[in-house]
This record gives sequence, C-alpha cells and structure tokens, in this order.
Amino acid sequence: VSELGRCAAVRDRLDAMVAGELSAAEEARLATHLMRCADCAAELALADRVEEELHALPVLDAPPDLVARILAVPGGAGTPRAAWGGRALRPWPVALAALLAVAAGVGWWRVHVAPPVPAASVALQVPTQGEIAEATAEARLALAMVARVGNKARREVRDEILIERVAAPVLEHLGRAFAERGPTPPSGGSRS
Amino acid sequence: VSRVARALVLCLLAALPAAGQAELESLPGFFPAQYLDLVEPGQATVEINLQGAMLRMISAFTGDDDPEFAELVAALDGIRVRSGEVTDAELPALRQRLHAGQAWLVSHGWLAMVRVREDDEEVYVYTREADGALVGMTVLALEDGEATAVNLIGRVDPALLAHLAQGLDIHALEGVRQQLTATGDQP
Repeated sequence: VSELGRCAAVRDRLDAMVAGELSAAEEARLATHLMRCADCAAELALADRVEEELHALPVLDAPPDLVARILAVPGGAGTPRAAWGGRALRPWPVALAALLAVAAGVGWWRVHVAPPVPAASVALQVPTQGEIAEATAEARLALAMVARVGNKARREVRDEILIERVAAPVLEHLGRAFAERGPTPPSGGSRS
Repeated sequence: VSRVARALVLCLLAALPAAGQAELESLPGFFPAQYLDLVEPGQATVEINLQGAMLRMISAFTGDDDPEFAELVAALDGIRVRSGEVTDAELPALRQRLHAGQAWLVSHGWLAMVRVREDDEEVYVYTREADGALVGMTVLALEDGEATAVNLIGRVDPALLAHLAQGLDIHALEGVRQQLTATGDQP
C-alpha cells in the first residue's frame, strides 16, 4: 500500500477514532501512523476540535410543532438507521447536520425569542469620503444660514441703536433747544 | 495621513457611540420636528440632518484646513435645517406655525437673542443655556418669500460662530442647495 493510500485509509477512520468506536488494535495501528504523518495528525487535531466545538454548542429544544411533524413520519422516530436506508451514520455528515440544525435553531430563537438587536451594532457603516465631503458642505451651508440671519439681525440692531441712541436723542435735544428759545419770530420781520 | 490610517480613523469614528435620533431628542438644545418643519416636508428645498459620527468625521476631515469650523462642528451633537419657498397664500399658515414654534421655545426655557419683525419679514434667534453654556440655537426666519429653520444642538460658541460667519459666504454655498435639489435629496 502506497503512503498516499495509507493516509486515505487512516483519514477514513479518523471520525470513528474521535468517536471512540475503534477497537484497541485498530486504534494502535492508526496511532502509529499518526506519529509519523504530520498531515494526518493535523486532520485528527481538526476532527478533535470540531468534536469539542459541537459539544460546546448550546442544547436547544426543538420547536414542538417540528417534533410533532417528525414523529408523524412513518418510521421516522426511533429508527434512524432505517430512515437512512440502513446505512451506518458517519460522524462527519451527522456533525454537519447537527451544526445546521443548531444554526437553524439559533436562527429560529433569534427571530422568535431574542430581543431585536439595534441596527447600529449589527452593521458598521463607514461613509465614503464623498459622503463626508457632501455632509461638510451641508454643515457649512447650515452655519452660513445662521450667519446670514445673524448678520441681518446685527444690521437691524445697529439701525435700531442708531435711531434709539443717536437720532432720537439728537432730535429730542433739538426740540428742547427750540422750545427754550421760545416762539420763533416770523420770518421777514422788522430788524432793529 | 496614509489611506490605511485614514480608513482606521473612519472605522474608529464610526464605531464611537453615535447620538441616535432618540438620544438627540432628549438633549436640551433639540427643537421638535413639528415646529422645525415650517414649510410642508414635500416643499422643502433644503433639508439637512447631520448628527453623531458624521459630525465627528466632518470635524476630523476639516481639522487641518479649517480648525475653527472643525472645532465648532466637533462640539455639536446635531445640525438640522429645513428651508423652502413660500407663496403669499401660504404665509398666514406659516406664520401660525412659526409662532407656535416660538411659544414652544419660550415655554421650554429658550431665550430670544434676536427678534426682528419688519413688514413681511420675521427673523428670530433663540438660544438655550445649560450650566452657563449655550447648548442649543434655533433660527426661525421668514424673509424674501423663503422660510428657514435651523437647529444647532450641542455646545455653540457664539464668538466662534460670529468669527466663522465672516468667512461663510451664503452665495458661494448656494451650489450645495442647488445640488441637493437636483439630486432629490429632499423629501
């Protein structure tokens, strides 16, 4: 048997090894190969890690209606091998199916049970430089509008102050001065 | 600044907790939308809503070229503008809305800084103070057949704003208004 053929045969049995389904003699043979073959050892490490991750996933209850539907399928409950055509279930496909089921369960839980997550924390939206430039122009326009009103108001206030503090007092002073001088002699009167 | 560093700054700024609309409404400098919308929403020619992370980005990107503008913007939590043309027929209803807005401002502790009523023109500037600082400014103006409402939320430095006003040319910025109108950025 070539080295490649031996590696392929070993990798076929790694799932069973991780699941503890091998006989002591077969496990010893694989262990010998794994000590020499770094690639197969890496595969075993990966299989171990996947197994650990799967065991770490939360245990979820299936929705009651899903359980009811599965139980309603003839031969569906309690006879898993029959449902798969009598073939022994391989750990990897089962693991993948379990992962998908858990993912679907988590998805169902998030949709039906979990409180909504604020959009801002889900997506980090970074505006483009063009959008920032446009926003900057908008901010300048807004401040220019305030400035225009401010300038207009300042002019109005200045005019009011001019009237109140300068024009009005001058007119009042002139009025008083004329009043103190008494009635103005008629124009064209006789000169002495 | 390298592109990578700029992208990093952008991400960090965007990740900072931005003041959301609800958060903005709780600030003392906020002026309610029902009064800010002097003209009907569909008739506004300018509608500006800037807040949170975007204001910080504007400040970050203009800091080198225009530090005073950047400083003013950095202190703000929100900039909101509504502006639009009004016909003579719309004036009475618009004046009612404007005066309702004034009543709200006064009843919520805002002070009138400027009041101009002349012929067909009305211009008001209200400020809101808290802890000895200006934390909001609202401008309501009805002049030349145009109604404008501006709400600055956050710390406003009047001296800085007055200084900036000298350099802000409304006519030069009219292009932005036309661009906004052309791109249909308004409701």
